[in-house]
Amino acid sequence: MDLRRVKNPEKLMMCRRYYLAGFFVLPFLWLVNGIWFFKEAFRKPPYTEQAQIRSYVIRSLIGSAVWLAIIITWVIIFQLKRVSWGVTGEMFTFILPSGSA
Amino acid sequence: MASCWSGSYQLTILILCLSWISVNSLRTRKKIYIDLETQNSCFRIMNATHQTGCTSSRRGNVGVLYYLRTAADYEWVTTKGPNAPYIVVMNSSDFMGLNIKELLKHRDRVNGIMFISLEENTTSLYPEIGFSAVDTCPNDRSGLYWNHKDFGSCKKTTWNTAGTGLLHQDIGIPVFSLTDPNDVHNVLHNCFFKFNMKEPMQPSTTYPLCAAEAMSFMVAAVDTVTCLRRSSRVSLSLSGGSTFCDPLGDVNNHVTMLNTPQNVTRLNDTVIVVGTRVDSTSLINYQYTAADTSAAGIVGLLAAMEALWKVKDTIRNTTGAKDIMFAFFQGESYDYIGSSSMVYSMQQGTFPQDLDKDEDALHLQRIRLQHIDQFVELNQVGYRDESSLWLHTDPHNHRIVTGKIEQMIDGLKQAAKPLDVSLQEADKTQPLPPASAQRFLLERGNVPVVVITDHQAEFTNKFYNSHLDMAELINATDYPPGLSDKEKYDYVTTQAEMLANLSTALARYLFKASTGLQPDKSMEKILTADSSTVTHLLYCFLISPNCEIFKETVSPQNAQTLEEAMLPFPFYVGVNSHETEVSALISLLSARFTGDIVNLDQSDCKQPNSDVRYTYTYVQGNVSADGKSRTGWCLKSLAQKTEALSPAFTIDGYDMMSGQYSTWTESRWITVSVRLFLVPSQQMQLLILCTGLVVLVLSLLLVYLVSSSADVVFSNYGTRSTTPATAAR
Repeated sequence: MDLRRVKNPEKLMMCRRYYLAGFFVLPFLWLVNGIWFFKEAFRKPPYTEQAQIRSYVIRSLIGSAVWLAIIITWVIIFQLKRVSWGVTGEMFTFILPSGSA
Repeated sequence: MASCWSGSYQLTILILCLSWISVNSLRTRKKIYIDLETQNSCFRIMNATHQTGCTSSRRGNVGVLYYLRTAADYEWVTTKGPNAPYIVVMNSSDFMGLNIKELLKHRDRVNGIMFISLEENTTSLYPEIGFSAVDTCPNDRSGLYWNHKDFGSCKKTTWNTAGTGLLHQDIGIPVFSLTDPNDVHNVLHNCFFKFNMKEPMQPSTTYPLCAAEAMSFMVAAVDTVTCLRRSSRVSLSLSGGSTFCDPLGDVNNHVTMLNTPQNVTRLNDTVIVVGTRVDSTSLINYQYTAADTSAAGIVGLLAAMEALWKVKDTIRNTTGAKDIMFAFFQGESYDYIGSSSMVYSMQQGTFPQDLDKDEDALHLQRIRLQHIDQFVELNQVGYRDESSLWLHTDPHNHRIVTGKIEQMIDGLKQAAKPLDVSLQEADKTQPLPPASAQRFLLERGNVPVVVITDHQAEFTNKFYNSHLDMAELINATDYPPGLSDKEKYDYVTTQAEMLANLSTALARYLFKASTGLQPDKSMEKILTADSSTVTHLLYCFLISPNCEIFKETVSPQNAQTLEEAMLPFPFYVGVNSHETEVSALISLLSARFTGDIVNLDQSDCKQPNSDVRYTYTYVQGNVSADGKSRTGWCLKSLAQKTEALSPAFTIDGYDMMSGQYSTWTESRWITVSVRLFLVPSQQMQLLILCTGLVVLVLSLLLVYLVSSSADVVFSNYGTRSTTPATAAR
């Protein structure tokens, strides 16, 4: 969708929807929201809805950053500990490695 | 018109170019690599706690090829040589425990091992100190003496002194054997001497050098428990779940003398069991020769069977005659798979047939452990220690059933005496050697057991469970020069003669043990094993399976497979989903030697529903009088197959860690291959990569420059691109 053709109140509504939907364990939605509305929030000349959009964008970005940190931590722990967790580790594994533990 | 013609002309050129490229690319591949024929690779097996055997990395192990001949060569590849990693080639006679373990200590520099299993004029196949793939105390963990204070871990006698334990070690690099003369020529003369040893005794260090890529990647890992758990996992992938490993297993064969149905009570101590082991093992796939390890025992038992069944009517008509069961145990090399599974089904009451399956039909009466009267086992019988065979007993067993065992020993000795077979008692304080009978003694300690084998203490066979347990070492190929294959098949070798005498002694002993009658002269004459059967069977099992007695005894459907078989059938137990040729042949031969030919044609040669005691087997039979077709025999016999799969895999909720039953599984693999090619130096490889990268960057730069100044380069570029856009606005 081309944001240039969307009216400002509509932009705010969309940004808000994306932000709220992100709470349903959808960090990617926050990331998309943050990137998509970044220009609207920070680069465009001021307009009435901009302050609210800006706050949603910032919160979305913080949320996705927190998620990113969580995911990276999990991946590191999982890769390091999977083998020693044994059966439990295997239950978390989607694609089993062949030829090694 | 002209443009159309030029269009098709260009197309033709394009097609020609493309086809030329594809043909050429095939040639380029061939120009780069020499593919070796060998498929004889070591592979990974697992038990409940370990993975052992060989594997390569996922894409194959690569190393500069080096042919090891002297001690200096070993030093070169393990420490000095500048072109590590190496893949080493060695002669069969150097392929022995010490050398391999030395190489395995330097796995960072030695990336693979190949050895030449080919007899050449100058080198012998056999290492002087012997070679056995298993350890010095085979099957100790699963035997009678595990943790025994006097006999455990072979404290009293180390049976297998040539044991290397390599089969039960995680070797971790690929090991291949070269049996094809072309492969050997390629490796030595088109690769090693041509590029890596241009001057004699002066290893070349300058590139290009000839390297090998050995590929034998094993998909299973860790241990049986992990592997089976992973294999049974519900998979979400569209291609279905994947199986990583399979339990080892096959079938046991046995045949009983009497057809006791289920409505006749079987008394305790009325079944004489005569057993032998069927399988052998080795480090290398396809090279499972087992001349002494098991083949001699199998043939000895089959010949005794043939002799004994000639008097089957006398035995069956003697009131109170004991039943005689000939048993062939499969998978014994891997913690007694066959015997433990037979013992387990005897305990469950499902041996030899499951009576609950079809209650109306006539079945064979159950045989339980308490029904066993005595157990005689033929172990290795090929090499004779002090030209004698030795009778082994278990000290504890000997103590509790002394009378019966003495009686058995005397009976065997008496039967052997007139036949020029020397039978002597081994040290009574010595435990039993590795034998299937141990699994019976584990569950019932008072079964009288005598094990007949060719060693007094340690094994006389220096190549027990290895690829070198060859027919020639047990004098089974001592033909006079210039014999054709047909003449070799019929020639009675020294081993065949010796084995036939043993079979005769065994048959006469069993006759007496069963009926209590002393065979008279005419009976003795009938109770004589046929030395030509023995020599035929030895030839067929050890030299070429494409032989008359096998042809007569296979079904018409399998005749083609037999016709195509070039090498002796392997004695490895294999995975349980596949019945080995050796087991199938033992079953067929048992049917032939013990069964009656009934007048039924192939389609009617089937078991009736009302009586399932008998097996009906249709085989090709001998060549008929016209010399073209075969007569076809329908054999009705009591020969039976039962599953030889470790109870560990069939008992629900079995604790794999308990160590009670065999837990061996074999990993699956996708490709096994070796290829040779030339490698340039590291600097050269880097240079080529960098040149490629530079060219890539330059070309990107060029494209960018051209496209950014397109209106300068292409005179009408600007007008063509802007006009339609303007129109659209």
